[in-house]
Amino acid sequence: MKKNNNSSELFKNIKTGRRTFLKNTSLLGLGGVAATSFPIGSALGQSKKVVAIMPGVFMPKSGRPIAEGMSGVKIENAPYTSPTDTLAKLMAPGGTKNYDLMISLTQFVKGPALGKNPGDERLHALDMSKIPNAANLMPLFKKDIVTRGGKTYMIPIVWGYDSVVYNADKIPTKDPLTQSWGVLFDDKYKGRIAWRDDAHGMIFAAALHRGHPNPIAMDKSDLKDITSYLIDRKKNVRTMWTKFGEALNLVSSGEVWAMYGWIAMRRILQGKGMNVTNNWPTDGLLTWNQSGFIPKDSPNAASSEAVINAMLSTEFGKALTEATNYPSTSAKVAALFNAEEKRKLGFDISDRGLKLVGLNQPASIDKWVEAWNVIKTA
Amino acid sequence: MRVLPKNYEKKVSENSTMSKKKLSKSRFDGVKPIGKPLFLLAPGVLWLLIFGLAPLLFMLMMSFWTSSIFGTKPDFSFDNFSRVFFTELYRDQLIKTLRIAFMTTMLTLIISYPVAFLLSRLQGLRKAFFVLLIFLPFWTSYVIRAFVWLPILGRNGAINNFLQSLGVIDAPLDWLLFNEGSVFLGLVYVYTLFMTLPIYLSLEKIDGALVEAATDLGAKPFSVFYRIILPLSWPGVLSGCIMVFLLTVGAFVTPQLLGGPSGIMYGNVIASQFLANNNWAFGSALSISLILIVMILLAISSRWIGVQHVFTGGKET
Repeated sequence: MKKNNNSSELFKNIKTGRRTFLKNTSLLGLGGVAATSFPIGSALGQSKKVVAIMPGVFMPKSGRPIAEGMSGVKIENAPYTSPTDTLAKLMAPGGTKNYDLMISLTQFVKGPALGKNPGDERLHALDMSKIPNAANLMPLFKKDIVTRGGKTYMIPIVWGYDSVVYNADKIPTKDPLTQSWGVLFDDKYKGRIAWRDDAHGMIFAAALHRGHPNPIAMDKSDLKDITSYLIDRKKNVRTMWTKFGEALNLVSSGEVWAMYGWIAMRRILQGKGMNVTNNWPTDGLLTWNQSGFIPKDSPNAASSEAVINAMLSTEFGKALTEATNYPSTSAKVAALFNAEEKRKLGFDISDRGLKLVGLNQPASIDKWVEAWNVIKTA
Repeated sequence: MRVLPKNYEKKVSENSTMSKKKLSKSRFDGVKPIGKPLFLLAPGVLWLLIFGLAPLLFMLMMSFWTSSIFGTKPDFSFDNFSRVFFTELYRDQLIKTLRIAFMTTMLTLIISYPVAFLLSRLQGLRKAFFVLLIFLPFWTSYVIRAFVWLPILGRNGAINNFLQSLGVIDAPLDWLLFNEGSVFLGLVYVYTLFMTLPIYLSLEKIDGALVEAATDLGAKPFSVFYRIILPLSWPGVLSGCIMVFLLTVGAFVTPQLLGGPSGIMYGNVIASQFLANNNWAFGSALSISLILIVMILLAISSRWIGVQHVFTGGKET
């Protein structure tokens, strides 16, 4: 049904003029030859360049030629700061037409970007016929495709998890503490621990460790309990990191042995020759994914759809995963790696028997941030 | 003591009249006065309105609005301000921040005054060299100037390594970093120039003849400093103090980097509303409250220490 609607829209465009008609019919012919990885959308008389906002890490040097080659679109990266900044750019007056493509945290962006009610969406409804690679998404992430009223607005492209990154030369991997978030809270490694200066992640981790099954549903008294717990445990903390480089420096300089960390930190520290690893917390692994989406009034929506499709391709996904260790959401990419590699990269998280907890945005984030400031002030 | 020649005042007056006549005849012949050219102020006024007042007014307006995950809405409400003033967290943070800002200002003054005094006494290449030394660290970014303390004060940092190599300590000293002391150190280091420079400029302006005269009249060094140098350099001291105080009140990178698990000041609380919470309305209310409180403090202190001279260029209003 959706496909038919899109087709009729396409034919409507073709009627607009003889030139457009000739251009599109010739391109339709080419499209047949180019098959799915060279979608016709990329050639619909739109700019062959898209201005994208995404974390730089998700467009590695090895991946850029693949994405640009497959889509036939040049990707110009606008400065990226954070998901908050990305959202602010989208929500700002005129923000829906200044950029062509955005990649950001699905859980964080989807609420505000879709708006409260149908019709409030600040996103372009994706033409799924131009993103055939979306069909290859791992089952784990299919549920995270953002839709409303039968239209698709966001598609997960890359995923990851937050866990404890620690120096295995200092903290033995056999230590049972390393099997949970407890390593960040226990007295055993007092003064050798760094937390992340982030209300969302740290309250989530502490809540999971305290046995809250669904942290985002915590009520006021639960949040008070977590606040007291973190204030009590703060004595073990050397410092809290805010920036990526700061976190790397803390571990590489030996200032701390364990911290709330990211995949890329583990990869870089290992690259420096350090015996650094991450744990798989049995009390709950915090997972997230980053979706591709197109601002509502982007003049290059078809080109952006072509880029999203290319980023979901096996070739790009493999390059991305290998270069950054951030796994692609494509099942076809996961299938390219052997069992050992899958284990290392985390492609097997569904089979590990771990409790997977999405790093979703709590409705009361305001209270979480206030609680976090109380913790830091104490 | 200097003795003025006879008819000194008369000669000066004659010279001045002659030069005025000469100027009016040569360079400004035929030039008609254009009245009060207020329009020449336009660029400055416009700049102040657009980049100074307008953002502030917008922030003030937004502080009465409400924010949710769906964005900020212009629903007028005093809720943000009642939350700022009646929540213990924000009150405590405000007091802590004002305390840190005051201490930092005093520490910076104690360090900067002798440095500025030394600079004002130096001459020639030596002066240029020391001025360059003072400026050099400020050619790098603020963040780097704060970050640089980590490898110096850290557990495996330069100081600990040095002390260990001398055998002074067996184990690294943890207290060098990630506490309020290291925040003071970072802030004082980062803002020293803002204190040194105005004091140095005001010391440079002091007429050496005044000091000479006081000495000739028998004043002891402390009296010369206390009765002549300090009062004449007072506008520079006040300018420096105000600048350092205002900059410290809004600091958030230094406490975050060097303050450890309790490294939080009012600036961090404001930043968290914009960067983590997306609550721009409440963040604006926090900012406006800080501005108001600092303005009130300046107004109160102006009664005793002549802060108004900094803003009026020393003229009586």
